[in-house]
Amino acid sequence: MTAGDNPAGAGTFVGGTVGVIGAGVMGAGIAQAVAMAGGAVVCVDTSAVARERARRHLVEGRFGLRAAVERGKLAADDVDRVAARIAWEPELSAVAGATVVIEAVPEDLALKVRVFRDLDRVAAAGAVLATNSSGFPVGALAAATDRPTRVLGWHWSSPAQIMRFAEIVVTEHTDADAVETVTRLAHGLGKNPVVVRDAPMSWGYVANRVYWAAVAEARRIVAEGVSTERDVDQLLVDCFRWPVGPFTMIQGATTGWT
Amino acid sequence: MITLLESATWHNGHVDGVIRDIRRPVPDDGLLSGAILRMGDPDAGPVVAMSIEGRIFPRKAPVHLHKSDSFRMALGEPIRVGGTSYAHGEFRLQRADAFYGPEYWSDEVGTNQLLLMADRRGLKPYLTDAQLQRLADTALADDVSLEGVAMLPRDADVPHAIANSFGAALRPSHFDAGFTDTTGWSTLRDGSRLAAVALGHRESGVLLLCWDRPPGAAALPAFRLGADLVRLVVEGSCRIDDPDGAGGSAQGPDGSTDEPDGRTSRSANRTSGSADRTSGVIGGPSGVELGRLGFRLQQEGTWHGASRSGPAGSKELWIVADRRAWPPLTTAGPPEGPLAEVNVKVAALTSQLAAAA
Repeated sequence: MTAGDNPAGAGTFVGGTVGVIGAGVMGAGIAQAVAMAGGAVVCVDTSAVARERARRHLVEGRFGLRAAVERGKLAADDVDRVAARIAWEPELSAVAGATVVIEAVPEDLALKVRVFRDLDRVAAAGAVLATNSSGFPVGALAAATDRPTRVLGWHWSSPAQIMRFAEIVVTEHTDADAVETVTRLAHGLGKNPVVVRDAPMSWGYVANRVYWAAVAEARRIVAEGVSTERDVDQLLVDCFRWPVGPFTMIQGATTGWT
Repeated sequence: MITLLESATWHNGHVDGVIRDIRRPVPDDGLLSGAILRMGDPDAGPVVAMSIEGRIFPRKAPVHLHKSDSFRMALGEPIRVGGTSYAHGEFRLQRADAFYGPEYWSDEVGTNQLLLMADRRGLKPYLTDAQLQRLADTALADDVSLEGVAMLPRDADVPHAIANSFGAALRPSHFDAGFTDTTGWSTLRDGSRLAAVALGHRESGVLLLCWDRPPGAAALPAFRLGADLVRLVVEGSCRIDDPDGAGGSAQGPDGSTDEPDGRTSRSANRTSGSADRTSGVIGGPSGVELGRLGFRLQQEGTWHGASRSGPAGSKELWIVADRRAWPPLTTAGPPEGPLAEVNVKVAALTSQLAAAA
């Protein structure tokens, strides 16, 4: 099987090599999503420990390849083949051949700015640089590069291998071609891309702005003694068919899903 | 020397006030809401904004950086920085030269915060967008609080560092902490908890002391510090005596005399003789009680009266403009008790900074 085949049946992969910066939970999940769709991935993390952990979880993790086999999403024979599509590298320059690079380092703005500055130097001239930030203004990251028209947001949700969520965040300077490249890629991974506008004065794009507004109100309700965290969660699950309530969601997002 | 943007009447080298609850109509009488003050070194010392009201200032700020380490704490309604929400008493230490934001205030009528820039020359925000930068520069040009301050250029080298006594790690350009959870702070012999933070210039920067003093904690003796001091009550209350135990005198406990600078203004609370519970400052014949959001500004080299926490204890932030001035002196010489225990923390911070240099 070559890049372009899609053993998971998630979509039809289109595009060249995808770079992923960061081999944490999100970065490794993104790398797996691309690899399962048939794409070649270069996943960069300066930490050897993080790379090794990601490599292990890719196969054995709760949302890893073996679990995908058990769920009928992947043929058992394809496990090794999919795993081999991901190159785990320590140096940023390893993404020089990627057409799209997805940054998934910890959610610290100063760190992301530095990564985008460095990425701009090593990535191919026409490559699209995407941030998986949960909400930092994309314009601030684009401004750190000499290619603001090729920078956009691609916000994933966890687990990235599973969730169809793809919030594509564009600035007024983003090239239509870059948006098209990324939305096509997202469709190819079986995602459901929705394009939204960057908001320089706000954190959270669309999904997190709405979500955190709900969390803030839920916290006020508990602080006022109107209800408990557990009951607020239960009410929202029962009323709106949310999979989990806001407090469980925070717990899952910060400490992982159990 | 502490300089208020609006002049104030100093009493024995200090002035007391309160960060107003801005939900109330702004009164005509004395208050320091919105006060901006300069401390310490006349060129490079810290600047403190004691309150920011959403109704007056923009409620949102885009991503930017400063050429100064900074400290901000929510007082009242929450503030947001990036994806983090800070409730009352929670604070953020932000490293100089690192982008952060956007910032915004979630309440319709705005909120209060204490914002400290460790070096006033770093007050200028550097933004990521040229158009926004032009707007910010225009606003700065009209800002009287910056008159005479030469701002550091974007590429200036700032020998700054942030260190703390409770093991919080910069991640990588800021850390969060607060008075809501003080369990990680050091416990002193009288049961108080203490956190110390150094920020700004590696040698002469700011010292922050965060106190969580239970009811019945040991009284602090009168002391004299060789640097400007801001003392803010975050929760509870504290009683501060006049230095000589009698209000209205400019004489310290050692017989020295502090020269009041004679400035007057409607914008400062005089403590002596006033009894305004709504202001968070209750004056009496021999001292003052600072309630929640009450504060004291104490000029360097002047006597600060003995103090003790109130019936519900006190959580306090002390801002020392120049950490080299610690420890203070008491009438008996070097301090004993909790003030002496602070010395150990400050020495440890100094070692941390030296090791990191």
